[in-house]
Amino acid sequence: MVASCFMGYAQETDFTPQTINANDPNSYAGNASVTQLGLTQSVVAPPGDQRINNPSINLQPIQMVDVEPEDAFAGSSSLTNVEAGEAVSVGGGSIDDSDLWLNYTFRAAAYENAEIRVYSIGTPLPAGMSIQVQIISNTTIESYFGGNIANPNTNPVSISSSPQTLVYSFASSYSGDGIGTGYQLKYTLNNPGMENIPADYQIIYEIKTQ
Amino acid sequence: MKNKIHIIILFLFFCQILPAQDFAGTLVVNTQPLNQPSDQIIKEAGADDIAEGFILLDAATLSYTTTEQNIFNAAVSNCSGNNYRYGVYIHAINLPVGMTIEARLNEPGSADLSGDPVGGVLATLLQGIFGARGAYPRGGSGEWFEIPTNGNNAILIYEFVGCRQGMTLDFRVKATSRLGGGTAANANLQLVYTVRGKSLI
Repeated sequence: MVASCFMGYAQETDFTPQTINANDPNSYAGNASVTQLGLTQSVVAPPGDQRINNPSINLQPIQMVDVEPEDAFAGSSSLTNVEAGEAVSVGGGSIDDSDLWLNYTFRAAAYENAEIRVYSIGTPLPAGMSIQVQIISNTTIESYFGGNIANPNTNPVSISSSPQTLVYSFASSYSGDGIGTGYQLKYTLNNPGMENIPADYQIIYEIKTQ
Repeated sequence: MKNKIHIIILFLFFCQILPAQDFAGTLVVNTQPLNQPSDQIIKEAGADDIAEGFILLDAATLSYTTTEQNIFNAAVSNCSGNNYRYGVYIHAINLPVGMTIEARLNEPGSADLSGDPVGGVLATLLQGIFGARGAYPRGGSGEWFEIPTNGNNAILIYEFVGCRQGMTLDFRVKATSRLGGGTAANANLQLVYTVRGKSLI
């Protein structure tokens, strides 16, 4: 006990040191050994303790998809007042093919995969009218373990009330947000009767787990 | 001669109240499940959730006591005689790539004077010598510190003086969307809390 006087510790200022080697208690003792006033002492262990805790971190699953720019489509898109030969319009603005990009973020509940599907709701299109959507390009999308998992269906998809796969199976990932990232979409409107698209007609994109 | 006597008395005084070995500290850590709130995820499709992160207040509660010899050289559990300033260091084991955890002190807790033999007088005396008992966040209140994965560089989160109980930590977790949800991705995660005492004089 006598050897354990205060002179065995180097004086330290507050909040120092800012890091220690917690794997080796001897390395963060005040001094391994010191000699003062003719007394040599060893600091066997510093005052303190160490505990290992196993925290449980529970991450929320995420399923979010939208089409950029957002003022054109927001999750579910509403195409209105489209005439044959005119550009697809939403909210009064014209949309060029190159304007539209599908973005998504997907975090599985565990490790399941998912796909992106497209379908329509609302009043069906008039007879003879059809809308197709096609992925004409995409950026690289990486999984947790690397590798491109974009998996686009590059064929034109005729939109109906039955969900159809637009992006094939992928793991937890994200496409990036905004124009120029994710999947570039092209719409083709076939409207030989020059009919109007029903006001409540909507195109839905969804992430479906497998 | 009179001065020499004073120095010897002072020397013996400090020798008695600052034992350096066989220091039986006891740290207790209780951690709540770190569940990501549903309103603390990204708001925009395409974005990575690591940009959002979520905060859990008072997620871990720490208490520290010690068995030590007091100034009367009595080997009893007597936190009133405890005069160390302690640093609380944390590092993580098996933290998944793509996940970071930050920590900060929230509640300073309260001093543990359970063994004070003279009704607080001794504690008051020691505070006058060694500084006020309390818990002090590194860098001031509210600053976050990222917990490293290398135990060779466990990071200081806060310091406290004397035995204390009820000290709480906030955690901020940031995890990429590429990580699977639930607890599967971090099932083997461990947080290592190291309390290190140092002399105040």
